[in-house]
Amino acid sequence: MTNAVDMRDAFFDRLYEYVARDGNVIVLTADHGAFGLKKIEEDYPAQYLNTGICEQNMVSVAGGLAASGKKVYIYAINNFVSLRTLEHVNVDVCSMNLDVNIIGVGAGFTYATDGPTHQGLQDMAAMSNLPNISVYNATDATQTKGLVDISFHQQGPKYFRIEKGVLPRVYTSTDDLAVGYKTVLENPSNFVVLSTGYMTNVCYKVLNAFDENVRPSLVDIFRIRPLNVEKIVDLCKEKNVVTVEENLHSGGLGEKILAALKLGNHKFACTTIAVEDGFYFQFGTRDQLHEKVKLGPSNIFSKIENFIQENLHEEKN
Amino acid sequence: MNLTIDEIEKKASAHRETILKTINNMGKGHVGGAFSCIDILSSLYYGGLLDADPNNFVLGDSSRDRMILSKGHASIAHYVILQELGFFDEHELSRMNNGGILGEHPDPSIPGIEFVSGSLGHGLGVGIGFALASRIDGYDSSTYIVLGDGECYEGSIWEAAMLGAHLRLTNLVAVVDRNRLCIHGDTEAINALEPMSDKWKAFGWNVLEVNGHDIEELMLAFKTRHSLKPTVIIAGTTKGKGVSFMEGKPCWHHGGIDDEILNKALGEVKND
Repeated sequence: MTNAVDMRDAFFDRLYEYVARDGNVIVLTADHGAFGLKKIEEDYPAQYLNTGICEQNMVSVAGGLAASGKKVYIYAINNFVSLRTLEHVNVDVCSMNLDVNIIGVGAGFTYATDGPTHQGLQDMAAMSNLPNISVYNATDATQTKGLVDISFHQQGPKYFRIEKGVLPRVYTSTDDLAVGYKTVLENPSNFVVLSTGYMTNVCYKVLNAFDENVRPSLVDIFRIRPLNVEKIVDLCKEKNVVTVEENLHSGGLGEKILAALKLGNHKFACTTIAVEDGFYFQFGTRDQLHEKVKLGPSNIFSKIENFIQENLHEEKN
Repeated sequence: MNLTIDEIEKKASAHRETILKTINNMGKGHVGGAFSCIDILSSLYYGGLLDADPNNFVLGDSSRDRMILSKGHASIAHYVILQELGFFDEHELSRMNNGGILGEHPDPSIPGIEFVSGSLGHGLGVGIGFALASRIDGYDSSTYIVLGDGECYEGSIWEAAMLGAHLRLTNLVAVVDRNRLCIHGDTEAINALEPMSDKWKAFGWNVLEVNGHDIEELMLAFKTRHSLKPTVIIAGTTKGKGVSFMEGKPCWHHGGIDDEILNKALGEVKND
């Protein structure tokens, strides 16, 4: 199934409705565009500001606006609105616990031909290390629309990591997003895959190739911080766990899940699939880059299959 | 509060005394930068510019004039004024950096403080947010941002300067405390900041140059606005101003004040 809506437009089309409704909503961009954003600029110019390519200052301006009662959205490419601005976000937004919504486009290898400057492999780890912030990794256009609702109705710093382009649809509604995860495939085996963002789409296809007897369930973890530890530990109970993400291992979802499961006294096996720490001066399609970093569908299938073989005995116990 | 120039000068002298005693009590503190900006802050708070009423202070109120001391390490100069105005009790100064509400760098949990500072290069961008919000909300209130000159090495200051001028934020006033000293010496020897005024002019600001210890000049500058540009006041100051053996000495950026030094310094400040 596909949603023929670019995730950026899903975000900004929904945001447009809130901009129209509430004059306190202010949208800033560091000269980064989207069709949906253009409509906001044209119809509500008093609530839109292109600061130019100066992400650090954009964050500080957002802090000043939010400290004056505005609900602020700021937008740029992932790395530039997270890694580049990290200390400004930490001080001017998070330490002040202000209502600033940071939208970063370019999760993982979205910008596959642009090299490591544009690869969003570290932003999630960096942002989820900041106190007070909530970090969301969007999965498809339907869910993204629901995340905009969360952004408007909940106070405080938030980071939304979205995609450029159209992704297959995983979500059929925006219900129940408050829990921060969604079970996408439910199977009776004692294996579960926890994935996030684009990789949930990949895993959805990969898991359907498994024999029904061992096919793992698939859970999309879209709220990375705060992780719903209690619920995630509960849904992993008596299951062997695989995490899959398009991030560097360090600070990624896998590390967070391992820590959560350890706290929850989880007794079953757990393995993590992510991008090995490094800089990838590789250029091509996203699929080509996934193959190079061993994150393609066949790599993921093999890794999960091996994991299942190694831990099948757990199922028998 | 709208005091005369003579009265403001007396307040600033009294504040220098309090700063010395407070740092003596703490052991060490940012005395040099506090003394270079205390006349600037006193002008703002006592000269009828900032309407700072502790009984009518709502954080985030864009209808009110607001000030951020972006060079947050000089916070003690701000604290003594806020205490004088009644934002908190005098005993808070005696337990600064020692379990009370006052720390070396300010944050809005302290009554009268508008925004966190301490990390340099943030205040001007935040001030643009303040000034823009006031404009959007239809108020003619002003935003004042006090910057250190060493802070102007930060690239984010110039990102903000560019945007402030582009947006024609005439309600935004920056003050550069131009004491020409960083921790390790003369700014012009470290990495020349001059021509400071020309830089701000080139970024589209209305630039005024004053003696940052002359209350009359400061008051006149604060009341001078441009119809299309934000204003920056380059305030020529002396680090450690008021105590001869501290003036122009980088070591007093953050110095220890024992009882002997305190008595010597108080003698000079009281006779100022």
